[in-house]
Amino acid sequence: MSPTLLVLLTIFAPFVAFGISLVFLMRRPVLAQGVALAGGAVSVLAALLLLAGGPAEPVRHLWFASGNFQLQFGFVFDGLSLAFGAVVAVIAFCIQVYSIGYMHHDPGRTRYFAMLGLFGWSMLGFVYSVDLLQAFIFWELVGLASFFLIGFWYEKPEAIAAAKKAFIMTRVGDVGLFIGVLMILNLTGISDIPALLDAETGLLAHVSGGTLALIMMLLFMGIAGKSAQFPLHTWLPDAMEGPTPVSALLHSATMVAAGVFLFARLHPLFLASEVVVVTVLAVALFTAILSSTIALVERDIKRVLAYSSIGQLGFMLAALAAGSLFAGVLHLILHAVFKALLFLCAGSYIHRFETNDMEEIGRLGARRMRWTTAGLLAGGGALAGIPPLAGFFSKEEVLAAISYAGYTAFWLVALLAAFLTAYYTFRMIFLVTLPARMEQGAKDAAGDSPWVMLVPMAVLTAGAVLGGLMMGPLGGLLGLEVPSHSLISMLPALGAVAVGVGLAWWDFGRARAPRRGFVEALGPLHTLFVNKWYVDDFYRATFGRAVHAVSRLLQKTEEKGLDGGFDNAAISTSRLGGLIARLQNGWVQSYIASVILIVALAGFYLGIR
Amino acid sequence: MNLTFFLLLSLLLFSAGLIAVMSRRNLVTVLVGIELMLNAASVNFMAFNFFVAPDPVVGQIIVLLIIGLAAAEVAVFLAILMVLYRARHEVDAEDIRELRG
Amino acid sequence: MHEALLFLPETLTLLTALAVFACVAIKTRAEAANRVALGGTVLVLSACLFTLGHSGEPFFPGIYRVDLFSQLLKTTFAAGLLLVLTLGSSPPTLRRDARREFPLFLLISTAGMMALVSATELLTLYLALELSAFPIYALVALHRERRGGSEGAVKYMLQGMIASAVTLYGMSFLFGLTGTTYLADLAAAVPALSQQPLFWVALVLTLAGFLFKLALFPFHFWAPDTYQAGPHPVVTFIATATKVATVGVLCRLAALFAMQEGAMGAEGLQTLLICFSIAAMTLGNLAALVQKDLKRLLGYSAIAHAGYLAVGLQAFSDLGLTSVLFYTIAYLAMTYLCFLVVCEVGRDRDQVRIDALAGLWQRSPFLALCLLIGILGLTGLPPTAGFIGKWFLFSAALEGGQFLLVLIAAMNAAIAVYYYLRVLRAAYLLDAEEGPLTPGPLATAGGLAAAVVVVWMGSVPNVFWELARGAAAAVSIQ
Repeated sequence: MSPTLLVLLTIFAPFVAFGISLVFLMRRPVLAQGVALAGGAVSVLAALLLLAGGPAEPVRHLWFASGNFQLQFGFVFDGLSLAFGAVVAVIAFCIQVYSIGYMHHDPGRTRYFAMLGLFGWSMLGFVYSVDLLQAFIFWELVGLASFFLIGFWYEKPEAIAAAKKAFIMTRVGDVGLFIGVLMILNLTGISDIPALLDAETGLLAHVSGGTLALIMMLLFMGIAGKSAQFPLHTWLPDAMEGPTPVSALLHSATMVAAGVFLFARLHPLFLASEVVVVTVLAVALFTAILSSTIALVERDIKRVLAYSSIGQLGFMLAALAAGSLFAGVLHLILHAVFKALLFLCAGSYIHRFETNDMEEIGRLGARRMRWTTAGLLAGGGALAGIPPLAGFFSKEEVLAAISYAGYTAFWLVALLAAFLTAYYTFRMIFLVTLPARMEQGAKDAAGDSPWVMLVPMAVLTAGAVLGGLMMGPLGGLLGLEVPSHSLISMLPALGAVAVGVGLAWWDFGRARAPRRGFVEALGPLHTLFVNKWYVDDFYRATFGRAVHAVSRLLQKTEEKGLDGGFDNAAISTSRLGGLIARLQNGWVQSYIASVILIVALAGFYLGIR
Repeated sequence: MNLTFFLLLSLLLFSAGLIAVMSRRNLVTVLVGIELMLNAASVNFMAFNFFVAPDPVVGQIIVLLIIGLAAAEVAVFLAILMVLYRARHEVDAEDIRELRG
Repeated sequence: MHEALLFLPETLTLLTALAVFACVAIKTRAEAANRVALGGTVLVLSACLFTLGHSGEPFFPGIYRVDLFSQLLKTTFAAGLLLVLTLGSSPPTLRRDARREFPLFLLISTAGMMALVSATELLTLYLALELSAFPIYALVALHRERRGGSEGAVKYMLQGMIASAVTLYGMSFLFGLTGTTYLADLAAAVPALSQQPLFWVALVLTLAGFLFKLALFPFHFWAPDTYQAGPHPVVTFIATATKVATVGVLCRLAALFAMQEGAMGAEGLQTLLICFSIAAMTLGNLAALVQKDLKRLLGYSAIAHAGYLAVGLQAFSDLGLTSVLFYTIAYLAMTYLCFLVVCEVGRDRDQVRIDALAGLWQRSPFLALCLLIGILGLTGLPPTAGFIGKWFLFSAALEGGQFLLVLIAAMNAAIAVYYYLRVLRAAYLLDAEEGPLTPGPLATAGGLAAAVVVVWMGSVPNVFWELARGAAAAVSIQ
C-alpha cells in the first residue's frame, strides 16, 4: 500500500471512530468501545506498516492558493514522524484497551472513548504534518481534546478547573507560537516544514540574528506551554484530575510530547540561534530541578509521576538544545513508553484501592498485586535510569549530549536532576512496595487487575525493559550515527543514580528506615518544595494584587459571580473584566459624553498631526 | 456675512445641541438637542453650497431631505418614548439605567 | 445584463415588503406574513446570486454602483435575513401584536442595507444608513416585556441618532472641502486634500455613524444593552446582517480614501483605527468574562469582534480588505448559530442566562452541535472559519508591519477562550433541568446551512476567499 493511504488510515481511523461514536452510539457504550478499539487497531497496524516501509518522500496537496497566499496540507515520512507516529499509535491503543477495564462502570464511556479518538487523531495528524500551519491546527486540536478529557469527570469542580487551567495556560504559550508561525510565513512565504529547514533557501536564508532569535523564542513559548516548562508548568500536575488512563496518554505520547516533537521537528532552526539554545537549556534544566524537588515531597502517586514528567521533558529539551537530535528523540520515545506504563500501574492501584496516597496504597497491600508491582518496578527502574532498562540508555545519551556540547555547568545541573529523579522514583517504589506495616486483611486481597488492564501493561513493560535495543534502528531511521560511549564517561551518571537509589533505600527501604526523606531535615528548602516553589502563589500575588489594587482605587471591590475555583490568574483577569464592565453604568448620557470626548480627542490628534 | 460666519454659527448650534444631549435629564429635551445638531449640519450644507459648490442645488436638496429625515426620526423616537413612558411613567435619562454591567 | 436587472434584488425586497405590508393591512394571520416574507426573501437571495459577478450603474452615473463587492455583501445579508425569518412566525419574546409587522421591518431595513453597500454618493449613503437603522430601533422596542425593551431601544436610538448626526456634520465638511457629494470625485480630490487636517477630521466624523453600527470602540456602548434588552430574533438580525452591511461601507470608504495613491496622512487614520481596535478587543473580551446573560456576553463578544475586523481593516491593503470581507461572511454564520440557540432556548425566557443552556446536549443534540460550531468559530479554533479567518486578518496586519497589534489581538483571542468555554461548559457539562427542545424544520435547515458554511469556510476556504478577493478588487479599483 502506498504511504499516503497508510498515513490516512493511521490518522483518520481514530477520527472515524470518534465521529461514529459521537453521532450514533451515545447510548451504546459497549458498541462505542468496540468501534474505538477497531479504530485504534487499524491505526496501529497502518502506523507499523508505515514504519516498516521506511522513510519516503513527503506528499503535499494544495489546500488553498490565492495570489501570493498559499496553504497546503500533506504528510512527511521521515524517520522522526514514522518512529514517533508508531509510538503514539501503539501507546494510544494500549491505553484504549486498558480503559475498558478502568472505565468499566463509568456511565459516560461513549464520550470517553470518542474523546480518546479525537485525541489520537489530532496528535497523529500533528506528527505527520508537512506544513507548519497544518501542524498548528492539529496542535490546537490536541489542546482541545485534552481539555475535554481532563475535564471528563465534570461533576468534580477541581476537574473542570484543571481542564480550564490546562487549556488556558497552553493557550498563553500558543499566542507566542501563533505569532511565530505568522512571522515565519510573512518573512519567508514558506510554510512547508522541509523547505523551511533547507539551509540554502529556508528560514535561515531569510532571517538571522535578532529576528531569528525572536521567532524561535516565540515558538519556544508555545513549546514551553505544551510541554509544561517553567513558568507555564503549573497546569500539568493539576491535570491529574482526569481519569488515570488519560493522564497516561497526556504525559507520554501526546499533549506534552507535542512540544518536544515540534522542537525536534524544527531542530536546526533552534540550533541556529545561540541565545535560544542557552535559554532553552537554562529553562529546561531549571524546570527539571524544580519539578524533581517538588516530587521529593509529594505524597500523591499521580502527582509524583506528573512532576517527573515535567522533569523528563526538561531533559529532552535540554538534549535537543545541546545539539543531539538522537538523544532527545530517544528519550522522548522511551519516556513515552515507561511513563505510560507507570501511569497505568498507578491507575491499577488507584482502581483497586481508591486512593492516590502512596503510603496508603502500600499499607492496603499494593505488593500483593504482583503483576502491577512488576510493572511498577520495571517502569520505575527505567525512569530512575537503572541499567539495562530503557531509561538508562536514553538518560546516558542526554547527559552525554550536554557534556559533549561543552556546557559543563548545565551538565552538573543535569546530574543533580538525575540523582533527584532516582531518589524520588525509588521513594515511590519503596513506599508502595515496602510499607511499614500492612493492614490486616490486606493479605487476603489477593488477585490483580483484570487481564484487559494487565495485557497493555505487559506490552509496555516489555518496552520499558527492552527499549535499549531500539537505539540502533532509531539511529538508522533518523539517519544519525548512534554515538558510542566508553564506560568511564558513563560513570558519573551511574554514580548519581546509585547514590539516589541508595539514599532512597536508607530513608525508606531498609527495615528500620525512618520513612522521612532527607529533605525534611532541610527546613526552609523543604517548605519551598512543599509549596511548589511558590509559583502559583507568585501568580496569585502579582496578577491578583495588581488588579486588586487598581480596582480598589477606582471603586470598592465586588465579587462578581465566577464559577468554581480555577486559576487565580484567571480570577484576577475576571476582576479586571468586572471593573471594565462597570464602565457600562447604564446612564446613557455618560456614554454619549465618553463617545464625544474620544471623538474630539481623535479629531484633535488628526488636526495637530 | 461670509463663510466663516456660517461655519461658526453651525458650530455653535452643534455644540448647543451636544450640551443639551449630554446635560438635559428629560429625554424629550434631549431629542430637541439632536434636532439642533442636525440643523447645524443643514446650515453647513447650505453655507458650503452657497459659497463653494459649483452646483447650486445639491445643498438645498440635501437640506430638504435632512428635514424629512429629522421628522421621521422624531416620530420613531417619540413612539419609543411612549412605550417607555407607559412601562415606567417617566422619561428621565438618569433614571433609566437598569441595563448595565 | 440589462441595467435594470441589476436592481432586481432591491426591487424584489421592496416588493416583498409591500406584499407583507398588504398582509399587515388586511390583518392576515402572522403565519401568512411570515410565509410571504420567506418566499420573497428566497427570491431576493436568488436575485442576488443571479446578479453576482455583474456590474454596472442602474441609475444616474456615480450614485449607485452594482458590482461583485456590493452583490456579495447583499447575498450575505439576504441570507442573514432568510436565516432570521426561518425562526418562525411567532418570534420568541416579540410582542404578540407585532408578529405580522416583524418581517416588514426587517425587509425595509434590508432594503436600506442594500442601498448602503451600493451607494457611492454621500447623501445616498446617509439616507441608506438611516433607512436601515430606523426599523431596527422600532423593533427593539417591541419586546413583550416593555420595561427592558423600551429602555434598550431608547438608549440604542439615542446613541444611534447622535452618531448619525455626527456623520452628517462630517459629511457637510467633506462637501464643503470638495464641493461635491460623489464619492468618486471626492476620492479624486484626496491627493490634493490629504495634506489638510480638516479633511481627516471630517472623515473621522463621517465614519462615526458607521463605526457605531459596527459597535467599534468608542461607539460600542449600545451593544451590550441592546443585545440584552432586544427581542431575541431582532438582536439576531442586528448581530448578523447589519454587521455585514456596515463592514461593507467601511471597506468602501477605506478603499476610496485611505488606499489612494498619494493619500498622505492616512497614517493618522490608521493609528486611530489601531487604537480603537485594541481598545475594543480588550474591553469587549474582559467585560465578557464576568457576564451571566448570554446575549449580553455575545454583545461584548461583538465589540471584541469589531476590534478583530479593525485589525484587518487598518492595513488598508487588498489583503486586508479581502480578509475583512471573508471574516464578515464567516462571522455572520458563526453568530447566527449562537443566536439560533438563544432564540430556541429563550422561547419562554425574556433573559437567557448562561445557566439556561444547562444540558442542551441532552435537550437537543442538534442545537448543542450548532452552539459548539458557532462558539468554536468565535473562539477561533480550527477547523472552523473563525480560525482561518483570524489567520487571514492577522496576516494582513503583519504584512503591514503591525507586530504589536497582532500580538495584542492574539492575546485577546486567548483570553476570549475563557468565556466561550463557560458557554460550552453549560451546554455540555451540566445536567438538563427541562425537557427536550425541538427547533422547527426551517430553523433546523437554517442552522444546518450555517454550520456547514462555518466548517466549509474553515476547511476549504477557496471559494469564499476568491469571492472576497474579487469583491475587494472590485471596490478598490474604482
